[in-house]
Amino acid sequence: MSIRFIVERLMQALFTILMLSVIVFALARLSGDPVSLMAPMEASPEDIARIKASLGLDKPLLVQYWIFLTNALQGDFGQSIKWDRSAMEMLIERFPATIVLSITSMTLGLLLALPIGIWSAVKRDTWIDNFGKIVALAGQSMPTFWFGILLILFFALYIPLFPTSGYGFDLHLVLPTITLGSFVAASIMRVTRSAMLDALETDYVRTARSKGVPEWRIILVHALKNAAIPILTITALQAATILRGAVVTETVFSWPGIGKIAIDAVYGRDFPLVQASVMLMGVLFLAVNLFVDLFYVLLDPRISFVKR
Amino acid sequence: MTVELPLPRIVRPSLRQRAAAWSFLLTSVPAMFLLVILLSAVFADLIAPHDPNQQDLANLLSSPTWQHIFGTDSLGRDVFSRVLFGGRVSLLVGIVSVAFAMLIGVLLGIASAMIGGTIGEAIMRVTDLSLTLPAILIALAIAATVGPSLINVILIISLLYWAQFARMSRGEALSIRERDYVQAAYAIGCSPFRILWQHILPNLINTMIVLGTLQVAAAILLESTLSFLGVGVPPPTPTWGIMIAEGRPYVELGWWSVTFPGVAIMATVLAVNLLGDKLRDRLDPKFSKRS
Repeated sequence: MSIRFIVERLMQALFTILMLSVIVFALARLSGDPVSLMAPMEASPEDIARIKASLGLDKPLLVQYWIFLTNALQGDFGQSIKWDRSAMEMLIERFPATIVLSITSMTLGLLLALPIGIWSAVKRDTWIDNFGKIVALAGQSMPTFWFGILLILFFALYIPLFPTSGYGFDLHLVLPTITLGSFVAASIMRVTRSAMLDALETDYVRTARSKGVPEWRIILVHALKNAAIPILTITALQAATILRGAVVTETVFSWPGIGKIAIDAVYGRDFPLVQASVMLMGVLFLAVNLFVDLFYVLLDPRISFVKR
Repeated sequence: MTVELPLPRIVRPSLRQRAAAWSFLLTSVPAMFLLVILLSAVFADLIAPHDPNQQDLANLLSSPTWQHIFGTDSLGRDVFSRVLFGGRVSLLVGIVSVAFAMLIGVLLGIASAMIGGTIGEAIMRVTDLSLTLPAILIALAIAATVGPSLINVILIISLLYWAQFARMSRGEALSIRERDYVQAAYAIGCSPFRILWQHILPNLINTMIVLGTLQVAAAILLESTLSFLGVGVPPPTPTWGIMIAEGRPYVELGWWSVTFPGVAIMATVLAVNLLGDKLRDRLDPKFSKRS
């Protein structure tokens, strides 16, 4: 892997983050006057002018953006309007909840997707395969929030096995994990199936068969090893999209992660908090994508992004 | 030099017939279903047994009966009628926003391919950029900023979806441009506009139809998610997402007010996805990855 490629991708990611910061900054300014949200009803024009000056809102837009950017780079997005605390601090506090949920969901997703995907490929064009395909497609077509609510209905209300919502690293984790896990499982399953189909048709698999290698060994060692790259790629990409699912899942289950806090901030028009959470999730998303690209090149020497 | 000949896969005839039967089922059933959904959304006024916003406080959360086949919600409104009217919003947003996205994307993609140079590169940079943005968060932030309305939801979704079309159409246009007949057309002096209209666009259509269909499915899901989160088309317009959000606090007392709109979303999106997959196999063989 060449240094040039790494530098190029890094620059690209930095540029994207910069653009994201412009969008985030512009959105907050477009949303109307933040002062009117903060100032008490009976504030006089002088009071409002003072608040404006203290927030730096009387300066030219470009200067305001520069201040926003330099502060943001230091992790300072200002105080949350509602909670009167540092927005970044609040997010960092909530971060472990999202990470734990993401890890358990990803694990469940893989545990579901890999066996079914492999089995589907091995039993190509049989009812097992068709069933697997439809389940995967149905999973991709299902609204996550609805699935979550149905799980609550069946496994928390009708049969009270699990709590309906709330936070805890115990039974509280089960239903959100199933919701978010099936959200990621569908895509991984589809990619696993098609990667395994390709691998099962290669010459080395035919050679292995003719040598009399047991079928399970052909599937799990020879084919799976060579199908690994696309599977790993989609898994890593799903790790990035899991943030999208997390926003919805956390809302449904009142799981106090960064997705929930972002939604609450949007409802409360708490713009410092909205800015901080959009930026944080954007940067995370980009970081995972960048990592996938680099990882991909490391894994497969045939791939080189240098000359496209 | 080695030549690889694919070995023919030996398939039992019964298996092949079964595959054909499956394939037929997986095309005709979703197509029929979508037609029904489309017609019932368009003619919701005529079909719906009740006014979707008519409250009946004597009949709150009534379970499915002959009078209310999907039951009533927490305000006594008929769930079946609301599902029919909700289809209007989902299909309208799904189709119109993707049409917008396709228009912008194809124009920019072809422009980037035909103009080339710095401008072409710049267009592609912006495209790549919008592909990496976390879509739902941006959608939420925009929706919270500009306020929820039908037009805004359509604009937000088009804004998030045009980039895929731009990238795809640029790639296609670049490869079509190099084909012999297009080069020949250049050589005999056809105007760039004629080449675009006669040679490039017709060859792009298949790919765009396939991508467009799959994007409609994604757009319907995104619309319902935005609605559910309260930043979609505002009430009292019935949408599937809002119905689920409104039924959620009472789900234990009335499963029907959450279940039926969810089934409607899932069935519609699944049908569009199945058709999209079929179209991809049919129209765009190089796309087909046996998925």
